[in-house]
Order: sequence, then structure tokens, then C-alpha cells
Amino acid sequence: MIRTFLLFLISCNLLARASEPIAGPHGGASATVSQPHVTAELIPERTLITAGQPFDVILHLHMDPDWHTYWINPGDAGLATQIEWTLPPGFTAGPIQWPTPEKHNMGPLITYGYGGDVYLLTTITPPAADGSSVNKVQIKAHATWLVCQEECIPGKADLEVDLSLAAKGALLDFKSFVNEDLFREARGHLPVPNTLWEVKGRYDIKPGVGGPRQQALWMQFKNKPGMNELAVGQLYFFPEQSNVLNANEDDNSHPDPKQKLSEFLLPLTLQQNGEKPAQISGVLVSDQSLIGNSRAVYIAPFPTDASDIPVSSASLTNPIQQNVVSENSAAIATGHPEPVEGSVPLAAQPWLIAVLGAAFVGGLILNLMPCVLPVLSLKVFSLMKHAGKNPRSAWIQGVAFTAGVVISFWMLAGLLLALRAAGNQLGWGFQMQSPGFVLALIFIFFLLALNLFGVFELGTSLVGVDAKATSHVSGFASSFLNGALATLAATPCTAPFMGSSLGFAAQQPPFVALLIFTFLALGMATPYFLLTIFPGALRFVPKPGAWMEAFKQFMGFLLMATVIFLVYVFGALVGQDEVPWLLVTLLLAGVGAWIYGRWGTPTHSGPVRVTAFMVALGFLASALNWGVALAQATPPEATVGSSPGGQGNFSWQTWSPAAVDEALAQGRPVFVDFTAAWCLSCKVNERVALENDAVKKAFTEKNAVLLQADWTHSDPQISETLRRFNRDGVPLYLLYSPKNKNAPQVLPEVLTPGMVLEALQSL
Amino acid sequence: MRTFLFIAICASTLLSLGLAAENTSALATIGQSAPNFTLQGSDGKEHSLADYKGKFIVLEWTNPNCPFVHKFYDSGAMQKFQKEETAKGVVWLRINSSAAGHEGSQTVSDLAAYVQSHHVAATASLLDPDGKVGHMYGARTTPHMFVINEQGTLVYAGGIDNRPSPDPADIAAAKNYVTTALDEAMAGKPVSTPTARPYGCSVKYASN
Repeated sequence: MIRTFLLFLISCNLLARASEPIAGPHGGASATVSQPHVTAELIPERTLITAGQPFDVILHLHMDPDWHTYWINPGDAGLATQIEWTLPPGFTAGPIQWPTPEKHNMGPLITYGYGGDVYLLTTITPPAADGSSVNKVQIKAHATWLVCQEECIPGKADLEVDLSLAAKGALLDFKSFVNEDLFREARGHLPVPNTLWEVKGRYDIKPGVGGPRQQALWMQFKNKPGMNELAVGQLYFFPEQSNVLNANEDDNSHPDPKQKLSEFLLPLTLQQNGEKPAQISGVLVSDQSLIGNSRAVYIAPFPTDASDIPVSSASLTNPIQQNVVSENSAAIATGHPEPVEGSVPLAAQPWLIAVLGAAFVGGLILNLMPCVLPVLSLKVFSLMKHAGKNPRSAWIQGVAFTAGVVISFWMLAGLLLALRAAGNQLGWGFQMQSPGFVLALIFIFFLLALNLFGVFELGTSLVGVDAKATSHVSGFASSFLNGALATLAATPCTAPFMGSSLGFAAQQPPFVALLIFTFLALGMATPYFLLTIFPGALRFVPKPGAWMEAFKQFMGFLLMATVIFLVYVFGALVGQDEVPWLLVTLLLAGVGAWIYGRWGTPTHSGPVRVTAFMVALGFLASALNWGVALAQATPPEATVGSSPGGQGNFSWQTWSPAAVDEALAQGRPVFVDFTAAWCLSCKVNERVALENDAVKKAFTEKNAVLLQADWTHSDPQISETLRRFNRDGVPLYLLYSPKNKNAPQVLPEVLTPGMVLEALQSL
Repeated sequence: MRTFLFIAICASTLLSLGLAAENTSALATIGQSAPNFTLQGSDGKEHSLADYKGKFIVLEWTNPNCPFVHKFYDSGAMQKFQKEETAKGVVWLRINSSAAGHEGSQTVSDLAAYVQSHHVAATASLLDPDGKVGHMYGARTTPHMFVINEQGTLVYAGGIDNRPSPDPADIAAAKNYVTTALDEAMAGKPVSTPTARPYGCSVKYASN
């Protein structure tokens, strides 16, 4: 009978425990306090506690759907939940043990917090008892929080739990572990301690999209001894410190998710105008398990002054660039090598060699530029003079000339690096968004074209300088000087034609930038150098004659074509209404140049020349002044179709993240064209690929929404999006599928109709 | 040589002139020139940052519905700061970057009524509904404060004080970073705390 009764009691007990809900009324919990959109309660781990033995309590907040409370670092906005404890004498409470937070978007801002239910653990330690028997004690918590959806509402609750405090050694009744399951689950939501890596950090720069390099925190993770290599998956780091990191850090900076690594780097962009604390801590979250079953690891505070971190790109890429970059790490010897940004994926070729090759070819092409060719052909003719005297001497002249070119390019590179170090943002594509910069280029090329037409000569022209130089110095030095002069004359030409190569160089570490400039220089000097080695090839070099003058003038027309393009860009930037006035300023500048050219030559007397010079300068100055005023005009509302590409007749709409979401919500695929008025390759791609009939038909068949993001003017939203896709600039082509909203297909920079059709088919 | 120099001087003059004409591209960064902008004010007129060249300027991002803005306005504290600083010749510009249809979005007449009813003592209250200026300055919260010195350099960007809470009782004891930055900048000293954590509700930009 007693046995049955006992069995009954035990089974009741077991049944009671089995039906104990994890959510729902918890033993010993406080009353539930209701506040707007939040209910709060305090739940102890057990109601019978032992002196000297810590126990946990949970502050449980339940939020209405779509309402969130915040983590210790709330992110871009918000306020962390706080608890003020009122405890019996001798009791101490630890800090809140935060479960792994989630990211929430509030428009373009990102916050860190929780939705639904959050269980915030705190460990409380009772003092060692004085031997008395069980006492009743009360723990009080004053909890404050901020709960937000679109609007934010501060909330608070005063919560109390009653507990029984037993002396040390007292036997604990099994029934007092009332909330074991809840606490086990709550502890499961905590990030696990970091047993895998040694972590160090350093503040340094990394290349950014849209020109300027960005300030970043580089985190280095190195496996502790005895730990195995691990594929870390897609990572996100939640810092506990506010106002340090840019929460919008996206997948563009994570190591290859699938590669097993024993060491990797994470560069995390710093918050605009944020702080740089000496120590950082936080939670590293992956989309796959890192330690045991846990995807979240707590990274304890680590110092941010580790000077020995090689901020190397070796383990740091987009999966697409993985091949490229592992070869890169061999190519980059010293300095501070940095990750390769964006661009067409170079599949098997080591990227550095490809770039240097391009630089070399670019240098060769420079010889054809109007700035250089006239000078160069004359150099060749002077070479013939030297060759006639002594073949060996000619070869040495070739070396001297090459040296002159290379060193001048190094000086240019030095200037570029100095400017960069001084904090200027030198990125060629980026500068094309600045009306002032475009204006400067317009004036430089216009005047240079006039010079080539013969409207005025620069001093006695470069020909004369050459003669002057050689008359005073020995052969070797004169060839060296010739090389330097040729480089200088080439400078204005390098900007628009070598834009991408130089823009790339501007973002590379000093060593790589110098290499690129060196190859550019070698490319430019090579024809001359080859001619000194194979003087026989001189047969193929055109003999001097009247043709030179005609050729020079023809080059002037090429420059004028550039001026026309730049005037168009200027119009796109500040408004078409300004363009006629700009042309007037050019007219003024032209008149100034003519006055100088006609009356500033040595054939006139001193006073006449000085007057001419001053008058010419006056014209030029007023033209520039006016031009600068025009450049400050407020740009017009950017409308689709205002940037040509002739897309007005096919329904392209203005891009915005909201428009993308809307279209995807309707189940339609979205094609986004990131373009700019000054981007020639964008125009070519639009003409070739996007206006192709077959492509247009495919767009219609797939019911695609076509959006255009115009980056003619600087636009932070577009810059941010480009950065997210690892690009420095336009073009960028994205194809979103409603089935996979967050991972659009990225099409290559050089677009063909075939590529677009293929991408559309794969939807 | 003369030609050499001539070309070099011409090129660099033109380039620097050109770069000087630049005005709106950069993101606001401490230590650099604060980027110019033009916004419509509660008086219906356009106001540009450049209009106030040569003065100390405070930019205050605000949202009439945010509890943290209420903290300062219901208690009269923000109006008091505005009055004190404008009396010293500081230009105080309030900016609302709430997008249309979002919390706190105001029309010009809403804004004018608010300025009136709340006895706002700022120099001007401006509307930035497309969020361009907000993004340029990286405004994340309301309030989010910026201080620009007489040379047009941004010297402070961050929270208004060191007590991030919605409780007005915390204002008196808090260290106000804005008034501190202004005092230091006006005395010609470097700003000791150029940045501090901005706290408040998120700025209601158009959704992502």
C-alpha cells in the first residue's frame, strides 16, 4: 500500500516535471509586469539557495512581434537593457550575460538586439552563511530597456523574487531546481568561450569602394596550439563597444567560407567619426558551427595595438578572388600589402603580372599621345645624330633616356604617394564626380590642343628645350633630361587615358604602386631604347619633315575630342545650362593663349612681351574664375535618361533599395545598372549589351524590373552599395532573383549580350 | 628649364584651382572641412551651411516623436542650450532627416508649428526628407550632434552627453559634449573629446 502511494507520489512528481513548460509560469518567478509592447518577469534558477553558492536569475522580456530590445552594444541606435539590483546584505550580482544578438535593419541603419523572447542571465552570489537555518530573502531588480519598432518606447519594471536561503551543507530538495530546463536552454543561447584562437587587433586602412581608403580594425585569428584547421563560414563580428565599428560590414571582407584555415584576418570598417578604444571584445558569429554545436563565440577583450599583424590579403577575399589572391601573396614582398578590390575576376593569371603588363602596354601607348609623340619623334632624330657618331654611344644614350623616364615616373609616383599620405583622396574615377576637377582637365587639354595647333608656343616649345639642354650638358645627361622632359610632357595625358591603372596604383601599397609606375615608364621608354639597340630599325622611323607639323595638329584634334567629352561630363554634373557659359570661358582662355602666342614671342621687344603675357594671364585668370563659379552650380535632379546611353525609350527607373525590395516582393527579378555619365565603359556596355534586342526581349519575357543607379554625382547610398560588392567604382551590374533576395548575381564589368542572357536564363 | 617650370606651374595651378572648386562630395570627417549642403527651413527658405561661413555652427539631428528628443525638449533643456550658445554668436541648425511616411516626418508648416510651440531657440530648423545630408554626416540617432569651428572644420561628432538614457533627470549631471567642444573651440584650444557615442532613436531614413 505504502509502496503504491510512494510510486504514485513519484510519478506525480515526474509527471509534474515532464509537463513543466519551458515558456509559461515558472516556479518562484516574480509577477509579470506589462509595459508597452514588453512583458517582463524575473525567474530564479531555484527557489532554495545555499549560502556561498552562486545561482542564476533570468530577466525574461517578451516583446510583441516586430518589436526589439537591445544588446549591450545596441548598434547604430537604441539603448541596452539595464538591471539595477537591490539585494540583501552580502549578496553580489554579476553583469548581464548576454545571449548572442541578432542584427536588425532599421532602414539603412543596423541595430543589435532581440525579438520575441530574450532571457538575460545574471549570476548572484550569496554570502557564506553564519550557520543559521533557512532564511527568507528577497531579490529585487529594477529593469529598464528601450523597445523599438519604427518608434521607440522606453520601458521599466520593478520585479521581485522570494527565495529561501539555506546554510552551507544543507541538503537541497530536488524540487527546488524548478527551472532547470529554462536555464539550460537560456545558457545554450550564450556565445561559447573562445578556446580556438589567439586574437589580436590593429587599426589600419584598407581599400574602400568609391575612391577613399577606409579606416578599419584588422582582427587576426590564429589557431591556438593543438587546434585543428577550420572552415569558418560566413562571419559577422558584433563588438561590445559602441561607436567603433561600422555595423554595415558585409560579406566583402570575410575569408573563404569553405577553406579550412588555421589563421585568417578580418578587416572591419570603422564607424564614421567613431572611437578607437585600446581594447575590443565581442561575439563572432558564423553561419556554421565553430566550437561544438555553437555558431557564436565570445571573443574576450584583446588589444588593438598589435603592430605585427601583416594586414595581408592572403586569406582575405571573396571566394571568386581566392585563386587570384593566393598568388598575390607571393608577389607582394614587403610593405603593407592590401587586398585586391573588385574588378573583373582574373581567373588563372596572377593579377599583379596582368596589371604590370597593362601598365607596360599603357606606357607604350603613351608614346602615341599628343603630349609625347611630337617630343619623341624628335628624340629619335637626335638619336640618329648620336648613332652616326658611335653605335655603342647610342646604346648608352638609350639607357640614359630610359633612366630619365623611369626616375621621373618615380617622382610622379612619389608625389602621388605623398598626397595620399597627406590624407587626400586620390582616386581617378571618384574625382570625375567633382566638377572642379573636370573643369581643370578641360582647361589643361584645351590649352594643350591650342598649343599643338600652333596658337602659341610654350617658351620656344619642347624642341627648343631639348636643344638648350643638350648644349649645356654632356650626352648622357642630355638624354637623361630628354627622358625626364618626355615624362613631364606626358603627365596631363596620363590622367584620362591611364585612369584605371593609376587609380589602381593609388590604392595599392607603396611598393606595388612604384612597380606599376616603373612598368609604365619602361613601356614608354622601350621604343626609344629598342631603337638604340637596333639602329637598323631606324629605317622604319619616319624621317622628319612637314608631316610632323600636320601630325602635331592632328593630335590637337584628338585632344579637342577629349575636351568635348569632358564638357559633356561637366554638363551632366552641374547642368546643361552651364555648358554654353563654359564654352565662353574656353573662348576667353583661347583669346588669352592667342595673345600670348602672337605677341609674347621673343621676336617682340621686352615691354611688348611682358604686356602680352600680363594680358593673356588676365584673360586666362578671368576665364578660370568664371569656370570655377560655374563648377559650383547646384546640380540638377538626376533623372534616368539624363545620363545618355539612350535608355529613355526602354523603361529604366531610378534605383533605390526600396525599389528593389518592392519589385522582389512582387516576384519580379530586378536588374540594376550602376553607371555614371563620365564612365565610358558603362556607356559601351549599355550600348552593346543592354540595348541589344535579344536582351530587351529576355527582360520583357522575365518581367524584369530595370533600375539604374546614376553615380555621376557622388551618392553615399550608391557608394556604400558598390563597396558592399567589392567594387571601387562603376560599372556594376546586379541581377536579383525573387527566390534569392540577398544574393544577387554580379555580372562582369565587361558586359556582352550573351552574359546577360545567360544570367537571365539561370533565374 | 623655363618651359619645364611653366608647364609644372600651369598644371598644378589649374589642378589646385579645380580641387578648390569642389564642395559637396566628401563624407563629413572630424578634422576636415564640413561638407556644404542646402536644405529648406521652417521659414520656407533655403539655408546653406556656406551661408554661415566664419561662424561656429552646431548641427542637431532631431525627430519630434523620439523619446530621447522629448527628454531634452519637454524639459526645456535643449532650448536652453540653444539660447545660451546662439547668444554667443553660435549658429544652431536643427535637421530632421525623417523620410516621408516615416515616424517624425514633418512638412514645412509642421516644422514651423513645432518651432513655435516648443519655443525652439535655434538659428534655423531644416528638413532633409531624402536623407542626403544625414548620410553625408553619418547621422544615426536623434539626437546626434556636430560642431563646426569658424574655419569650417568639423571638430565634434557624436552624442550630446555622456548619460545615454531617456530620463530628463540625467541631463543636469551629465557632461555635455557639445557645450564643452564649443567652449574649447572658441577659446582656440583643441577639442578634448572629438567623438562620443551618439545615443537615441534611429534616424528614420527611407527603408532599405
